[in-house]
Amino acid sequence: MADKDLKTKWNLTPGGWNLEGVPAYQDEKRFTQVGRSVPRVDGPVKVKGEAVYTGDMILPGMVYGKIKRSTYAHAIIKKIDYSKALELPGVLAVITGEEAPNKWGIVPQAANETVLAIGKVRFYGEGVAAVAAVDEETAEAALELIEVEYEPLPVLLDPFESMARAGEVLIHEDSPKNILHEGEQVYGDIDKAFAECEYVLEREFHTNYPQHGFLEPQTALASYDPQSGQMHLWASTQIPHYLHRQLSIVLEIPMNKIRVTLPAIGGGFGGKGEASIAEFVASLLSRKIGRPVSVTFERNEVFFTNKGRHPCHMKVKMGLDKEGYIKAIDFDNTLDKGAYSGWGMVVLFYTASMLHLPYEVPNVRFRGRSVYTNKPSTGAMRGLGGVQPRWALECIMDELAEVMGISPYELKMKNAIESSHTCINNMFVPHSEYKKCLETAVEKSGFLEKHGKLPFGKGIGIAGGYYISGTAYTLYQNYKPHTSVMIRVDTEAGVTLMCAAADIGQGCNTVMAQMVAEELGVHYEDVHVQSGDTEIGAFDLGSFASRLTYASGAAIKMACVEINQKIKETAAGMLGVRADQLVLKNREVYSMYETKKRIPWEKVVEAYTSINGSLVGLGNFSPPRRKGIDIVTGNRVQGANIGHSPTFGFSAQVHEVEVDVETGRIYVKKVTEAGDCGTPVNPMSVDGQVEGSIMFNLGACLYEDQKLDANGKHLNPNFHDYKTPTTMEMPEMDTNIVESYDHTAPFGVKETGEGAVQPTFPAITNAIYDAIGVRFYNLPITPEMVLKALKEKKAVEASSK
Amino acid sequence: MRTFDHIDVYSIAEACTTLREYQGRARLNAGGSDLLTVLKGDFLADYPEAVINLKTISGMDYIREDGEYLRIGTLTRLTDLVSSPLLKEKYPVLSEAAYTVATPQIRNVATLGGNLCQDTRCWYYRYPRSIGGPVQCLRKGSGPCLAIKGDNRYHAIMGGKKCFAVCPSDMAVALAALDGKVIIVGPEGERRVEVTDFYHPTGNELAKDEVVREIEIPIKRTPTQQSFRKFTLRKPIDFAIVSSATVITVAQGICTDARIVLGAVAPAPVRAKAAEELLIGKPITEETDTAAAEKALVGAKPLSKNEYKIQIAKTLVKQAILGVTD
Repeated sequence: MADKDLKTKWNLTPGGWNLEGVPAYQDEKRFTQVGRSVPRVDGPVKVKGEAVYTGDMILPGMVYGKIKRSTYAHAIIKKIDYSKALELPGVLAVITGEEAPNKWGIVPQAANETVLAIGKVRFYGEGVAAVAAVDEETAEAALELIEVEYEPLPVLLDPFESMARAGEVLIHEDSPKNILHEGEQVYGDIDKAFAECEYVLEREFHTNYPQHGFLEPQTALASYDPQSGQMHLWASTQIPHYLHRQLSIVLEIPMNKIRVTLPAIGGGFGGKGEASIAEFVASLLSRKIGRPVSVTFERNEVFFTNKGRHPCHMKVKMGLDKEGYIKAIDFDNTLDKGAYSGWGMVVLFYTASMLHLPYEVPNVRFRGRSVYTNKPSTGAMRGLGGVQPRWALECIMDELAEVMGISPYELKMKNAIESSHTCINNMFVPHSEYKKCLETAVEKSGFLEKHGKLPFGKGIGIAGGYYISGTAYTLYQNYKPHTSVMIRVDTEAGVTLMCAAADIGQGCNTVMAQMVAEELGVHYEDVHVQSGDTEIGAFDLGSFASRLTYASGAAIKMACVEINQKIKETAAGMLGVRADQLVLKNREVYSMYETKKRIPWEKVVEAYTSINGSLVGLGNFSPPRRKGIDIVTGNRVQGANIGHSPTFGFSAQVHEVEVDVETGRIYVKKVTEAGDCGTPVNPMSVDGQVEGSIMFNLGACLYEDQKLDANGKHLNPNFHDYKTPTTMEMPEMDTNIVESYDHTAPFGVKETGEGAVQPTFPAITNAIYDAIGVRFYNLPITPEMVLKALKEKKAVEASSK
Repeated sequence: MRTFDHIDVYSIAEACTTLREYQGRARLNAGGSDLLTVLKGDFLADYPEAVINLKTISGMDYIREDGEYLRIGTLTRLTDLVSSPLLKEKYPVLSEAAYTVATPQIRNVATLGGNLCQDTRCWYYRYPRSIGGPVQCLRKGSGPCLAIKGDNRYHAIMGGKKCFAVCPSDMAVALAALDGKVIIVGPEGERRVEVTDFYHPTGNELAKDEVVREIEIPIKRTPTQQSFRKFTLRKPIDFAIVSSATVITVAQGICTDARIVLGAVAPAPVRAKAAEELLIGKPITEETDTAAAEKALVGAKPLSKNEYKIQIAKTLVKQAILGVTD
């Protein structure tokens, strides 16, 4: 959105009146700080290279930790002999799995990972021992002196093979079918619905094995104080709280003796949404030797431990009636879990939940299973659980539209949901501008004029998507608020927001400051944010599932109520007006009726604090628990709680591609995006998030795939061979924020970090079909695949002549 | 990265003596853009005891014509090849090839000699030590080439003899199209080797105490059409999946001389002599061009996963001959 639009829409006259003459207090959407394209608070230090990341930190007496990794993908550990390593001068300690046998995992019901392997390794590169030494070179040399004896077991790298051979080989002894979890969710009468459909199409889709590619590798610095028994961990994580909790389980130290602090974080995209072995190893070694220990993964260790996106093998059947209304979806999904459970159960059921939006679907059957393999574990990755089914569904809809002889845009518009929609699985969408997103993207790109009409080799494709916003359930059973914040106001520090949110580069510190400023009636520049610390800040679940802007926004609003009340009462006395008629805006307190009665906000703070001391407000947020329980009968409904969310963000994308039919190379030339992110707190940041989202999945659609050899060795654990697109691959982008305001959300906000990754795969795939008449059902779509498909197409055409 | 001695040398002769002293346990370093990744990955059978720094030798970065030959010093940076007015005017295939290498940052440190001598990018060969490497393979002296049965999408489609890693150098391809020779200095003096002969199936021509001093290119008396094409998965950064350099002389519409070289398809740059012969004596047309491209790939034997490289190679040859631009 251009700056000038914002100025005319949101700027106020000095008296607090907007340009149309409506008093600001009568319009809840009339913001001064929310909606400003302010530069990010962390921008300048990062650009200047001055930001301090965990790996930049050096503490007195600090030593280095390194991890010895398995050279088998599946094997019994017969013996680990580290006596020679301990003899090496400079080596301070060696630990093995037995030292910390408690299992950890972000989903506690399925936690099955130990810090270092005990008895058995389940993927190539799993940690088997760790060393602390005075410098990294010594630690590396010590690793070579650790002797591990293995008894190899058969290696299962394919989920179907893994299930088929479960009678012969088990990856986890307590999972008899090599399946982490399987489930079925049936809504409506699917067979009856298909029987009544005019158009039915069934396809199989297979997604790839990409990884996040965050720039800062997992890094941890642990400092244990043997006197007080206090552990302080600085870590590159998205989830200070879940990390905190799991450290407590693994270290067997109460949470109140552990403090987790986040320095600057160099990206996460879900990959740091689980605790990292680096964090546990640093902590265990530090406790053992009583000195600070720093552990930084090499890039190849980031790949070896992965936690990237689940490859999904999906069978999809979709049926439409004569008019083109979706009547039924039958969806069967086999997910490749890799070695350990991690987020697996959640991802499995997200792929179920994602079938129900952004179109109205009256009959749905989901069957899925998450299958263990001897690969580095998959986990959470931007757009968790949504990207794979979205790709399949938007592609199959493109195909169905063609069968029907209508535009895919028409088919989408026909089925798109609107505000106040309740899905068949009880998921409730309070607000949607999805149709507006589709309209905007189509209009801005000229989709209808181009689709099906471009010369061979050029194509245009459309797809839509959505994502949850604010989340609904904690990963362990608990009713506590998901976010708590504390705001302190005084004359010394001004306004300080204290919370435990994790700014991993997505910009939450900036938007939180904007929201605090809005609510208190000061400027964004007046607010200090203390975040990412479990001791200084209040409680927060972490940065995942696009929850922060919504959750923090709600907690901030609540915390400000108390502060504003006191400010108003104090000012009322000073001005001689009623407190409930005061407005707080632009660093001023003034009467909404007698606008000449006004006083600088700072003066009021001074008056209050000189008598009472600092002003403090506490706020928290718990999302509504709607989906899991039928609010009429009070019974739990099937499908549990996953996918439910306070609100939802939407995105529509039109991609224009050029396919070089001689070399098979695909170029995405232009992307037109329109997103419903509710109120854009920081429109410039929204643009950044959306452009980043598109590039993120453009990479996984055309370039990125982790390759393992038959033994489970990672063949491309570096940025040379793992091909993340660079700025040179970046297409022209036209991102648009559609007018949207969700009255149920704080400041009307929604997510924008994950909704915009959803349409990218299918929009590109559909555009390629428009360009060369070939539909692809496997990712990534490489030049090799394009050339092969064109050759086959030519052969088919020749034989039919 | 493990420790090593770092030795500055001030002449090529000194570099040779130092190499000899270390008896194969030292490595030469110029820009370091390849060597550092080799050392960090620690995938060689033997970690070097010493790194010999050539950057302290002065006067080794030059591009000049001396009547019969164009001479380029081994320490000439790729950046300088890109921007040299002489190369742009008379040897554009060289500046074009240099421009396709990696990124500006890397071209600012990488040298011509280093580009020619860099180690292969085979992902089996480069498998890092820290995680169960170094992988043993034919190139390292024991065992079979792992690409034969493994994932060989980037490996050789011709000329592979037991090892199927491809020559990663773009400059070698362009130099081969100009009949370039590598001048190698050893304790016993100098020798000249054709660029295409510089590469062996499992390494290069350099003995343990030899250093590349200069590249020598005969000056053509008649104007030529030159072009370099490179196919990569991403625009910058990547090594070639396939590349092609052509230098063609055309007189009165008839091709009188041709050099067509393919890169990244074999352990060395490959002169497509059959294609050259086909073109000579004929006009350059769509038809002869297509025929030449077909000829250039006759005899290619793809492995299980790299047949697509043949089609791409044909396209590049065709584009290079016609001087088609992207």
